[in-house]
Amino acid sequence: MRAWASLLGGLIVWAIHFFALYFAASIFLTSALTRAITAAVTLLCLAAAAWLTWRAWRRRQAHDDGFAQWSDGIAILSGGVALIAVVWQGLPALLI
Amino acid sequence: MTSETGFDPALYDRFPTRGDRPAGELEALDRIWQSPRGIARVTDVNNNYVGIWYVGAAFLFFLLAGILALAMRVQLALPMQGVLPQETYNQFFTMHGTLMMFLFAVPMVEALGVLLLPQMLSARDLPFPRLSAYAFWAYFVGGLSFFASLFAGLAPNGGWFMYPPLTGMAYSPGINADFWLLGIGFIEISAIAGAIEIIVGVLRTRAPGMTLARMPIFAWGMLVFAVMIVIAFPSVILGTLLLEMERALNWPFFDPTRGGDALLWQHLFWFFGHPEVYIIFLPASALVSMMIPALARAKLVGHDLIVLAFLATAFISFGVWSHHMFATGMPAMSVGFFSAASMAVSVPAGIQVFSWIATFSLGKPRFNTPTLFVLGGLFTFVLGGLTGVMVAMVPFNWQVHDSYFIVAHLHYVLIGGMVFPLFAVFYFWTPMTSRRALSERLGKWIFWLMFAGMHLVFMPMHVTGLMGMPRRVYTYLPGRDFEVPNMISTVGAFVMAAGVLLLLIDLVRSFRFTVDDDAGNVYGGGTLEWLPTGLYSSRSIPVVTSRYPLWDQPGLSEEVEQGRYFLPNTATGLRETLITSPLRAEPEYVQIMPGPSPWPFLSAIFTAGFFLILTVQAYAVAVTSGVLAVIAVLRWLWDTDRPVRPAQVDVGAGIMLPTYVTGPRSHGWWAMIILLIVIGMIFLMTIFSFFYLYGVQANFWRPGPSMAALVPIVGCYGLAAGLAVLGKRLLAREQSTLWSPVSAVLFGIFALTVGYAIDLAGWRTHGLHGSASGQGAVVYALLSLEGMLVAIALLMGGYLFARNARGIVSRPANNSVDLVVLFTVYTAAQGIFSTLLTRLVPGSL
Repeated sequence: MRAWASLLGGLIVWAIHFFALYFAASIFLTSALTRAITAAVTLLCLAAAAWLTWRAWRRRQAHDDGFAQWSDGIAILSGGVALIAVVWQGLPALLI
Repeated sequence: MTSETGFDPALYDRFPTRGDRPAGELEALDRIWQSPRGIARVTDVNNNYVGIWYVGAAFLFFLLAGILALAMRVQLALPMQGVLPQETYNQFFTMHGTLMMFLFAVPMVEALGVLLLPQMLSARDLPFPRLSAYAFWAYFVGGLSFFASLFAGLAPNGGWFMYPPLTGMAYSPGINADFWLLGIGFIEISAIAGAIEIIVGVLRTRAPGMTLARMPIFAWGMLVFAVMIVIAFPSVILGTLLLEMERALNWPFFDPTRGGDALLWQHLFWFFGHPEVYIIFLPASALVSMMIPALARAKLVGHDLIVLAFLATAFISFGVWSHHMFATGMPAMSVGFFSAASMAVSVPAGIQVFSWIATFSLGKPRFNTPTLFVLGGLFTFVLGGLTGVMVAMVPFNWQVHDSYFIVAHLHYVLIGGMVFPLFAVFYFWTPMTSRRALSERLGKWIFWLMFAGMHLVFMPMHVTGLMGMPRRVYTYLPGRDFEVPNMISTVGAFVMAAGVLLLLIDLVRSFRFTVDDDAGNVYGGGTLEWLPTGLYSSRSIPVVTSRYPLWDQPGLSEEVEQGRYFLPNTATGLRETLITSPLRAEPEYVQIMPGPSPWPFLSAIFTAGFFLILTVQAYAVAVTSGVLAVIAVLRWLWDTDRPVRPAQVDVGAGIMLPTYVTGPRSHGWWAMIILLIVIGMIFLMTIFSFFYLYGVQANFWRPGPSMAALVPIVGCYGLAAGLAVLGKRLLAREQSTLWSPVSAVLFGIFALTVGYAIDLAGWRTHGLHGSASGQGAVVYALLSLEGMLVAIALLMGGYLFARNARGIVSRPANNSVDLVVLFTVYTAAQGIFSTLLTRLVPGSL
C-alpha cells in the first residue's frame, strides 16, 4: 500500500484538489468564498506535492536499488505533474 | 538487492539450470492442458481459446454496428430520404453507439487482454480462467440477444446515453428502454468480471523478475484500464439501476416534479462515460507502444513517461465528466474547473504521441501494414485531439453542442485512437495465433481504403456541424447546403466499409487458428509472447531481467523451451501457475488452476436469461433462470479452494514454494478486495445521489424514523462483523470443534439480517415510500443495495455451511471462510453507514 501511495502521491494530491474545488463550486457557486477556498486548497496541495516530490528526490539519492530508484523516479514525475496541474486547475478562480 | 517478500533474489542466479530435464515432462504438460474436443469445447476455459472467441465476438459486433452505420449514411445521403423511417433510424443510431461502445470497444480490449496477457507475462493462464469464460459467454449470449431486439422493432431508441426524461415512462412507455437498461447493466457485470481478472493477472502472475519497472507497456495499459473500469463502471451500473427502478417501481429519481432531478442521470452517466473514452484508448495506445519498438526497430523512447501518462490519464479523466454538460447551466466556476481539466487531459495523450514520433525517428521503420495503421491512427487521433481541445473551450462548446461537429470529433478520437491501432494489432499478432500471417499486399489496400474512407466520412462532418446540422436527426430539408457534405460522408462510409470487407476476405484466406505451430515472430517483437508456446503458454517460466527479454537475453527462447527456468514440469500433476509479488514479481506460491467445466458456460447462459427475460416481463421464467444461474455458480465454485498434496513443491532449481496460501497473499483475497471496491463505489455514487437530490430539492425532504432504532441496528451490524472475525480466528485454534468457527460466521450473517430487517421495518412503518419523493426513492435505493448484499451474504453462509458439513473447510486457515468474513464485515460497515446517513440527514445534521 505504501509503495503505491508513494508512486501515485502527486496524482492523489491532484485528485483531492480537483474534487475539493468541484464540491466548493457546487455548494457555494461562483462566489468570493469559492475563490478563497480555491486559493487555500491550491496552496495546501502545492505544498503537499512539493513535499512529496522533495521526499522522493531525497530517497532516490539515498539508495542504489534499481527498482526503488525507478519507483522514486515515477514518484518525482508524478509530484512534478501535480505541481503544474494543481496551478492550472486553480486558475479558473482567478479568471472567472 | 532489497526483497519484497523475503525471497532471496540471489536464487535467480540458479537459472538457467544445466543438464537435461527428465523425459515426459512436456507430454505431461500437454496432457494436463489439453482442450476438450467437439461440442465440449464450449466448456473450455483456456485463455488461448476464450481469448480468440472473445476477439471474434467483439469484431462481429463491430461489423454489425458498422452495417447499421452504413444504413444510416444511406438515409442521410440526400435530404428527405425514405430508406429508414424515423423510429427505425432512432433505434439504429442508438444501437450503433451502444454496440460500438459497450459490445465492441471495451470487450475487444478485454479480449486482447485475455488473449495476450498470459503469454506476455509468461503465466500459464489468467488467475481465474473460469471467470474469463463466464465473462465471455455472458457477453456473447447477452449481446446477441440484445442486438436481436432490432428485428422485433423493440431496440432502444433514446441514444447511447439514454437521457431521462426522454427515457422515462412518460416518453418511452415501451420496453425498448428496458432492453438497454437491463441488457447493458448486465454486460457491465461481464466487463467488471474481466477487470478483476486482469488486475489480479497483471499484479500477481508476472514472470519472476518482471518488476513494475520491467513490465511491458501493454500490461500497464491493461492494469490502468481495469482499475478505471472498477472506479467508473459502478457509476453507470447505479444509473441504470436507478432508471430501471424509476420505470418499474415509479421511484422518482429523475423526475423534478417529485423531488428528483434529470441532471443526476447525466452526472452518473458521464462520470462513467468520459473515463470510458480513456478506458478504450489507453490499452489501444499501449498496444501501439508495444508494436512501435518492433516496427521501428528501436526501444521505446520515454518508457517511464508513458507509464506516467497512463497514471495521469487515469486520474485526470475522472475530473472531466461535466464537459458533456456545459450546456446544462452549471455554476460558472464549476464549468471553468471542468474546462481546465478537459484541456489538461490532452497533455498525457500528447506525451505518448511525441514518444511514438521520437521512437520512429530514432529507429529504421519499415512501412509495412501495421506501421501504416499505427501512423494513420496517430495522424487521425491527433486531429481528434485538437478538436477535443476546441470543444473543451466553453464558448465554442456551446456553439457546436449536439451538432455534427461532435460526431466528427468523437469518431476521429475513437477511430484514430482505437480502431486503426486495432487493425495494426490484427496484422502484428495474427502470426502468434495463426499458422499463416495476414497478407501484406492486401493489408496496404485495406489501410488506404480505410484511411481515405475515414477522412471522407468524418472530415466533412466538421463542416456540416458548423453549418448547424444537429446530431441524431433522421433527415434534413433540402436547400440548406447540407447535401454535398452529407453525400461525401456517405461515399466515404462505403469506401471505408470496402476496406473492412477486404480484411474479412484476408482473414478467411489466411487466418488458421493454432497454438503451437504458429507463423512466429514476423515483425521481430522483443517481449515474452513471442516465446514458443503451447496451451500452457511457455514450457518454463523465465527469469526476466529486461523490458525486452527476447532482445536483451540471448538464447532465452531455447532455454525456456528446454525447461531451464521455473515450473519446467507439472509440480502437482494439476493445472498450475506461479503467483508472484505485485511490485518486484518475486515467486510466492503455486496456484492450482481450474480446468474445463460446463458450469461457467451454463451460469452465463442463465444469467443472460435472467436479465433478458426480465425485460419482456415474464417474471416467473426470469426468476427461474436467475436461480439456475446461482446454482450453476455455486456448483462451479464447489470444486475450487481445495488444498492439495504436497503442501510444498519444487518449482525448479530446488526452490520450494507452497501450493495453498490464504489471507492477503492469496489471489482470491485480492479478487474479493477489488469486488468490494466495486460495491463500495456503487455505494459512494448512491451517497453522491443522496446529497445531490438533497442539495437541489431540499423542500421535498423530511426527517426520517426514530433515532432510538439506531442502537439495535448499529448493534446488530457491529455484532455481525465481530462474530465473523471471531469465526476466522477460531478456525486457527486447535481446541475449536468442527462447527464452532463456521457457526460464529453464520451467527454473524444472522445478526446482519436482523440489523437490516429492523432498519427496513423502521422505514416501512415511518410511512415514506419509494414512490413518494426523491428522498423516498434514494433512501429505498440505499436499502435495496444493502438488502442485496445481505441476500448475497446469506447465500454465502449457506455455501459455507454446506462446505463445512462435507468437511472441506481447511484448517488453520481457509480461503472460503476468509472471503465470506471479508464480505460480511463490509456489508455490516456499509449497513451502519447507510442507516446513520438516512436517519440523520435531514433533521439531525
